[in-house]
Amino acid sequence: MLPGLLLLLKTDEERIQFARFFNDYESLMFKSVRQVVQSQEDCEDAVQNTCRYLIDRFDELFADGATPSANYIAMLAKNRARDLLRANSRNASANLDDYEDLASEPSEQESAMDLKTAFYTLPEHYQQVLTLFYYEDLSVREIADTLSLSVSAVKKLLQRSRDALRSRLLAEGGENA
Amino acid sequence: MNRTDSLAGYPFTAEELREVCACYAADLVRAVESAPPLDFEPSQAHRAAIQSMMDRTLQRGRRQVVLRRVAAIAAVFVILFSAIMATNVHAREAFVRWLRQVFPDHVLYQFFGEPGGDLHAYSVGYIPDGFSLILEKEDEESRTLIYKSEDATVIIQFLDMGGYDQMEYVGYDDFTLSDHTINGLPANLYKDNNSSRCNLSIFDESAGIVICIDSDAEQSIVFEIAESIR
Repeated sequence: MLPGLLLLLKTDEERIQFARFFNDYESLMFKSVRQVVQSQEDCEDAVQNTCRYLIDRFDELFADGATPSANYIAMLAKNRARDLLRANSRNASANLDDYEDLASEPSEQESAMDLKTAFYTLPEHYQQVLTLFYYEDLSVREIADTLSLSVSAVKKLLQRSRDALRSRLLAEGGENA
Repeated sequence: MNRTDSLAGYPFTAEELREVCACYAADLVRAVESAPPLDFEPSQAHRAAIQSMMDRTLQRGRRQVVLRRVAAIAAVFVILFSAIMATNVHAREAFVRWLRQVFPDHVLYQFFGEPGGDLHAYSVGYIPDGFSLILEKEDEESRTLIYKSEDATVIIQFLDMGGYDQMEYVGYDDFTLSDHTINGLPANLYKDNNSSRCNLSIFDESAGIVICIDSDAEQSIVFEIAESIR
């Protein structure tokens, strides 16, 4: 009996922890998905998918009372909304090509920038993958899950993001040389 | 991949990039938070779906937590179980693969068979009119289907139980547990005494698969869906 009761206590604590977390971040999730999908139904579906993702990874993301950062939640929710758009449009899972359509390389005329400015001119998916890796300290596998990509696609995306950043930084150096 | 090494040869360090990413993250959150308020209130169906998911945490998520956190406790169960098996013929006949322990407010199942059930061996033959599939999700251990109508949600989950895996069902605050047989398989119904919500868990003992149907739809609908699963 005692082991069972101990397990129950833990379970209730975690349920309360998640309920509080969801209450705090529900608005952020809705506003994040609203940037990608418009209808109430799509927004609700995307938020539910975000919630489901968090619950499935409760042990990793909420260990020892921790909660994911607001930035992570915002990125996660937006990507779940994008997943929904993809699913609604052509039954296709995400792949790197979807993102490549959005990629932009700096033009030869583009002047060099400082690191922050260069970063802010990157395509959003480059900014996201770099932030998840270098700021949120997620593993490549975790980023793959978050962005609905394969591990190899994330590795390529990281490589291309770093290269794009370098290109922007070195543009001025090339012109000055 | 090492974060510092990954930037060897680049004209910026991991620390510098981290600082910039921190600014970006803060700006991103600020931009989202400053967006205009939503022009709708989340629907009741949405609220119910979220609540169902939270309750599912108590079943699906717990299965893995329990294994990691209380391995020692699980070992005690195994030893006790083994002792019962060795000394009591009737117990051995009764608990060939599953052990069920009913506590006042939760039920603990433990599976002693081999893993390897086929999550795709089942198909859902009946979903009432008005329900549509809003999410289908699968990983190595489970397959989940969520159907939603205007006023109810049905979550069907197929769970592949591994050897010595255990699953805890923590009911609603006030629930009634009853035994049933669905298509020849033993099943437990957990009925919330204060609402229409219920959970029907069907145990395919030979395959090591649990089929859970969680819904706030009428109980008769839940049973019709359950009986259509083959």
